[in-house]
Amino acid sequence: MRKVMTALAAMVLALGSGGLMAADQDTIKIGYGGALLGNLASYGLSGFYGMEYAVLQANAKGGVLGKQIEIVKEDDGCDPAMATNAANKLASGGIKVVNGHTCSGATRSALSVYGDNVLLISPSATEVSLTTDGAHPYFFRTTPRDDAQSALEVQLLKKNGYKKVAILHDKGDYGQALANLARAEIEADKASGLEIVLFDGITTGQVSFDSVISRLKNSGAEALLWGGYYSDASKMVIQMRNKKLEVVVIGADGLKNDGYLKMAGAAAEGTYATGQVDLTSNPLAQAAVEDHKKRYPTEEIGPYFLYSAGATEALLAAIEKAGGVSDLAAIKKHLHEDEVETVMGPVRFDERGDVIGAGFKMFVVKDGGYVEVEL
Amino acid sequence: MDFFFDLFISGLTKGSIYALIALGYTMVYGIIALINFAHGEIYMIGAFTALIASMVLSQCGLAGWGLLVSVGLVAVVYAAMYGWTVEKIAYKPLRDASRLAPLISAIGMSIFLQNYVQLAQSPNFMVFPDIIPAIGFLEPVSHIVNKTQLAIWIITFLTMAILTFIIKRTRLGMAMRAVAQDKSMAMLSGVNINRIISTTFVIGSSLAAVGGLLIGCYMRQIDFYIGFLAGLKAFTAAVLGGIGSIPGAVLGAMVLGFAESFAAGYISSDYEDVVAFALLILILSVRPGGLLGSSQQQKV
Repeated sequence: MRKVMTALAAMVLALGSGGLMAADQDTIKIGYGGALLGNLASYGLSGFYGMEYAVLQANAKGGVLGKQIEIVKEDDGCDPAMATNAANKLASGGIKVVNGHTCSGATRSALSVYGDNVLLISPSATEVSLTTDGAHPYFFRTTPRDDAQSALEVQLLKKNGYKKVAILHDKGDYGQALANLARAEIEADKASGLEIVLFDGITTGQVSFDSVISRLKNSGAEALLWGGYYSDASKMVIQMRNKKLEVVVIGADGLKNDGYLKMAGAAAEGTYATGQVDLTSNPLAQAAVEDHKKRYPTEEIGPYFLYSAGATEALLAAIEKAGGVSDLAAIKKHLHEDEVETVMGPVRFDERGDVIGAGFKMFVVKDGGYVEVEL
Repeated sequence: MDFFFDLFISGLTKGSIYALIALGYTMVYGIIALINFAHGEIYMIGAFTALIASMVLSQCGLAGWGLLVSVGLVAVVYAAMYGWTVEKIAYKPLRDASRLAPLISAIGMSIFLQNYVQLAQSPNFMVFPDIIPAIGFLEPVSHIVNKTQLAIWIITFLTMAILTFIIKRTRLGMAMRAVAQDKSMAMLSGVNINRIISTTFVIGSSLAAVGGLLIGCYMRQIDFYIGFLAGLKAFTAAVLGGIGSIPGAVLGAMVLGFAESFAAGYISSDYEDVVAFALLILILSVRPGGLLGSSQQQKV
């Protein structure tokens, strides 16, 4: 009996590995790293759906270089430690190009794993130094950078005539960097008359944010620049409105999420948040959105769907020209040099890996939805 | 002065919540000398039960104070069942084992419950409905003291008064004090030790569930992880006040709440936790037994 079992097991193993090897030759594997579970999953899933759309489209047209594309996804929960694990899994699985990661902190730790061996293209990691520090030649992104967001925030402050500004952040990679950028922007612009009356970090998950809100009230700030994500912001804004504190909340793309509207409800009204430019006037983008609605009627499309689809399309075009995924330098060269028509318009990358031409807009919460504001 | 008053109120609110949770830690420690690390999770389960109960009961047409009280009852009963079961599963079999064994099993229980709620309910933040009815006379001053804060203070004060009454004046309380002093002697005098320990867990868990319900109404958002930080802070409060001492837990919670609130207000919210824990170290180095802890030597 035992012999039979061993033989069976051996057969299963042989079959299994044979199947895998066949798959290896027929497909080009591309990784996806991002938050698929947890608090920020709505961001990560939005990127995943975008990538999936681009891949399905390419596969329907016969694939790239005659091969079908296969997605290998790993969850990083937007957590730097988990991102290291996810990146290790992808890299050790022989993946050469990855779409992701969702959050800036997670992207940074994934990059230290990938080094020069894996090419990463992120639809959503906005933290400035990821590209400007020059340490990651194989990192690209289709999202514009955070400094574009803080510039818009300061522009809004000036336009609305606020003088006293409070800046709070969540001590995270993304939030603190945004807060520092906004501070630098305000301090550099002396003529504006803007004054920072409070600059502080909060501990996420605290039992209450009362004391920091009292401080905010005491500082006499007219506007609050928030560096962080929507979950803390929604708690703070509810407690602020409970205290009849009518300070205007201004945030970045971490705040421009339907989750914020749902959590904060009526308290969210009047909140400003920057977000990526609306790309849906592009017919290619409209087709992509329609397709998403058909395939996932119950799933939100999310903010990074088009950025991720565009990233994947640019990536696949570069892979095609480079003749496969083995030569990363060639893929990199084509990403820099060739302009590709994608769902987010024509895409090409500058020498640091930032996308050329994408930008942010300011939005305001009005009647439970985000409305674009002209600055 | 307004600013001071604001911080005072937020410190009092925080302290009240910590106190409700800290009582559970200190009661259990007083009776079986075990630090029940799963207690923060009972608080979280209380909050989740309250959320579910409030959805179901408001569908059934309940509203106002009736809704609040019935949601509270459901949360208390459910969390108490969890507390009771946790004791039976994770601590009772280890009662005669070395002191480290139940401690580890407590940490295991805490991780288990967290993951269980994450999988069974949701890994995301959930919106908690505002089920505390408006209090008319408070409306003009609601920017200073709002209804939820007032409710937190009153409910905390009432539960503590009831608890003190139970412990000081009833036969059950007498039996609990007897078990805390000397288990074998209490058993010889006819006290059913198992029943008393179970009751202690049930009472502690009920208080935590009340805390969970109140913090849900206050923060308007809960997730499976809220028990961790709240439990840690409450445990700190219990140690600060002298673990095992009931007035100590309340005092410790208030000291911690005020310290955090004033540190965040006058120094920086960056240093909120730093100041709170520095204070803990300072107090323990002067009074190792905590503020109201007994300094009596362990009998060998």
